[in-house]
Amino acid sequence: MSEPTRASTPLGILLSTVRYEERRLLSELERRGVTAVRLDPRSMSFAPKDAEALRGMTVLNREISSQRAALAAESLEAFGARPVNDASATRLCGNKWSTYLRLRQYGIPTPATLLAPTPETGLEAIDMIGYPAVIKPLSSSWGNRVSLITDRYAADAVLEHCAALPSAASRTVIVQEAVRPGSPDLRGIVVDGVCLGVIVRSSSDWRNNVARGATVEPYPPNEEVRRLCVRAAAAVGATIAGVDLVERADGGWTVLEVNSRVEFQGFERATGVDVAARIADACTAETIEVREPV
Amino acid sequence: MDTQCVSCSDTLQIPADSYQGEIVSCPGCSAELEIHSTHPLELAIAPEPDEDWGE
Repeated sequence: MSEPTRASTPLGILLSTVRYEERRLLSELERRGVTAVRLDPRSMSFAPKDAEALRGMTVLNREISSQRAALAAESLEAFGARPVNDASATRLCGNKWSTYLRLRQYGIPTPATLLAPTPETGLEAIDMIGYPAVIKPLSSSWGNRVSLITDRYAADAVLEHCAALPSAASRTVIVQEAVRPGSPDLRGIVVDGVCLGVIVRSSSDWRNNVARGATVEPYPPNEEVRRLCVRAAAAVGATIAGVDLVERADGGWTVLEVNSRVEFQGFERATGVDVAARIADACTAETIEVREPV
Repeated sequence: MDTQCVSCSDTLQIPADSYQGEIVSCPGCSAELEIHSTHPLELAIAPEPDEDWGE
C-alpha cells in the first residue's frame, strides 16, 4: 500500500482547452466554493522562481495534449506539487507499450502485444500474433492511427506508412491481438479506488471511441468487470482512470487500455453518475491513496 | 455577451457562464474560436487539434 499523501490548498487545475469534462469540473469546484487555480501548460516554462507558488499544490491534470500533460506532471512533481494523476501514471497511460507491460506485470488480462520498432519486426510480430491483428502507435488518442490488419497486404501498407513518418517515436508501433474487433467494448471509470460504473460502447466503426461517434449505454453491474477496472487503475498507479475492456470469445474479460485523463461525457450521459463530483471529492480529500492491485 | 468573430467580424453571442479556454463556433463563418479571456472578453482562432490530443 502506498503512503497516503496529504492534500493541500489551493487546488490547481492544469488545462488549456475547456471541453465538456473541464467545464463540468470547473463548475463543480465553483459550486463547492473551491478556488481552482488555472494552470495553462502552454504558458508554463517551470522556471525556478515558479517553485514557491507550486509547492504543496494538488493539481488536477486535465490537459488535452498527452505530451504537455506528461511533461507538466513530471515538472509539477519536481517542483513539489502533487499532480493527479501523478507523473508515473500519466506517463504509463500515455504509452501503450508501457501500459501493456505494467498490466502484464500485475497479472491483469490484456491482449497479446508485441513491440515493433521496424516494419520487418512488425511483420514478424503479426505473423506471431496472427490475423486479424491491430497496429497501434505508442501514443495515440481517440483511436487515431489505430489500424485493423486483416491480411498481409494491409500489414505491408500500414507498416510502410508508419516507417515513412518523420519522427522515430511515430515509427515505432505495437502489434496487438485483435479481440473480437467490431464488437462492443466496455469503459469503466475508477476514482480513488472505486469503480463508479461501466458503460458499453458500440459503433459502426470497429473502434468504439465516443470521440468517433460510438453510442453508449449503461452496462449491468458486474463484479468481475468492476474489480478488473480497479485492479487495472491500481496497476498503473492512477487515482482517476478510464479503463477499456473487451470480452473474449471464451467469456473472459481483457483490458485494452487505461486512460489517465479520462473523458466522461458519454459515461455521465449513459449512467447518470456525477463523475465530476467524484473527481472533485478525490482532489479535495485530505488524503489520496492509490490502492495496490488485489 | 456579444462580441465580434476574429475571423469574419460577424457578431456572435457568448454565454455569460463561459470559461476561458472553451471553444465556440462562429455561426457566420464556422471558425472555431477559443475564449482567450472572459474579462474582458477576448477570442482567438482556436488551435488545430494536435495528434496527441485526447485520451
